[in-house]
Amino acid sequence: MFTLSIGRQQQINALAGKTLDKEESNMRNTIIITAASIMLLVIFYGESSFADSHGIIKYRQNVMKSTAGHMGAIVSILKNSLPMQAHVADHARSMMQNSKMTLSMFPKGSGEGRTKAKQEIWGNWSKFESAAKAFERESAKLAEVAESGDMEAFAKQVRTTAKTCGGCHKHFRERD
Amino acid sequence: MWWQPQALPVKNKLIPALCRLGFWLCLFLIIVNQAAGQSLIDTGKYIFHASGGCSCHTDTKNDGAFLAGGKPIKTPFGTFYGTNITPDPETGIGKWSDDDFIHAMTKGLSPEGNHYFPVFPYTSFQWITHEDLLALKAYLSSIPAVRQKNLPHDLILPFGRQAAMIVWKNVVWSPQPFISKPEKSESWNRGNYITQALAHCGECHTPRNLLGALKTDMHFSGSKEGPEGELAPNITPDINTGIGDWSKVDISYFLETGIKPDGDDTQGLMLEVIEHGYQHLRQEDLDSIAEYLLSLPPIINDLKAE
Ligand code: HEC
Ligand code: HEC
Repeated sequence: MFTLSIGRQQQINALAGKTLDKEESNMRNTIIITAASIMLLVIFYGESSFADSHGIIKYRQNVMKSTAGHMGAIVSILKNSLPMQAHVADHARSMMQNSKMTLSMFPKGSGEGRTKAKQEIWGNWSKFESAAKAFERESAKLAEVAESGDMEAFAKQVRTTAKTCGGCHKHFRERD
Repeated sequence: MWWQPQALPVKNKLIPALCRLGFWLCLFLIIVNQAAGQSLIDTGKYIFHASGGCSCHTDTKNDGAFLAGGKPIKTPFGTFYGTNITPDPETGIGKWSDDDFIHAMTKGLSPEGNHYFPVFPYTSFQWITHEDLLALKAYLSSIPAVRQKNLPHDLILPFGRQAAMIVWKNVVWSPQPFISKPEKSESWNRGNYITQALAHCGECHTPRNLLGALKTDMHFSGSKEGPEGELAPNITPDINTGIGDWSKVDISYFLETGIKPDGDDTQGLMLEVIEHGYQHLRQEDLDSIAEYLLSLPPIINDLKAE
């Protein structure tokens, strides 16, 4: 029945001499619709990927700031001999926890947007990885020394740990 | 007879005793002399650290030899290359006399009478005492000599011309006496001397005019176009645009470690002068720099604003 109806339609079209035109415009419509949906997809995907990296960029900047916050708190205690020595172990542990998040905060494709992360991160991932591992290692030691209560050794380890921040920033973070 | 018996034993004892005394005296003098030489070198090493470790003269990026030069320094006037200041007689400064060294450091003149570009901060070093300069020279003479030819600077005209440098030195720059303030504390004056003469903080942290001279009325208020195109922040105690919210310990701890009060680390040239130099300074000297900086008039200069 269906074929019949098409056949009839074609017959009518043929009679009207319009068959080709109609098919052409159908084709054009398909092309336009496909192109438009591809464009929409690109725009949507682009938007959403931008929105995604915007989120992750803010996230990692906040984690970095919290790491710096703990570092700043620790050096405030040391520099001013504040009676908060009991706090340093907690700050050190928080830094150690943050250090373990580093690598996952820099997924491929998150280098676009309002970020200070350099493209070299993804161009030389193994170097970035070892910079992150150095931070993990030294902040773990920092937490350990903090537990021991030896403030002199702790102050020394603070500087060693800070060097691992700089060691990564030097290569992978854009300057202000 | 008069020349016989008793006299001899005395003489016999006296001469060896004198010899022995002489020997010990010589040994003592040699040791004292060497110790003095060594302590001069140690003093010189301290001066070296206070000056930021002459980090412009070591090409650390390319694992260059210590103080053998070759490090490129980009400025708005062209690219300079740090020179060889090891004691190598041909390519370094091994042949320089004390006077040559003092002239170079305080007048910006090479032993051949050529004028140095003010990238070499003789505009600050002019104030280092001759005593400190000679100690510094003794230290530099004690490091390993490295044979490495200096690279020619790559400059924008007319800065590459000696004639221009002569004009620069006579018109743009004039040597100024060091101003100490006897009415201020001893530590303030020490801080004044270290900051201005040795550590030459102002060479990076003071903006320059189009002719490359420091704008003295903007002293320490920061420079957008520091060496290497690096922004060197405002370090006057202005609360909003400078370091007015830093305390004395914040500054001295920063100069020792490179860690800022907010827990972030410093980078670039500042890290270099800390790592190669300032971190080795005695606590009281770091404190004196901080005391001096915080006593300066605050200057509003917002470098981060576009
Ligand atoms: C493995 C590399 C790495 C290590 C280790 C690291 N950082 Fe970072 N940090 C970065 C990168 C990359 C950025 C730029 C992130 C961005 O803008 O997306 C950054 C940004 C920052 C920022 C600026 C955040 C903002 O507000 O934009 C601070 C502050 C910071 N880090 C502090 C620290 C401190 C303190 C440590 C050590 C205790 C540390 N970082 C260790 C790579 C690292
Ligand atoms: C060779 C150039 C150079 C010299 C010499 C130098 N600085 Fe700096 N300084 C810089 C640069 C560049 C920065 C910015 C570093 C950054 O971006 O992390 C800086 C940063 C600083 C900061 C941090 C300011 C802020 O707001 O973050 C302080 C404080 C400072 N310098 C003080 C000094 C003092 C004091 C001296 C002398 C004892 C000195 N500097 C000598 C280049 C220099």
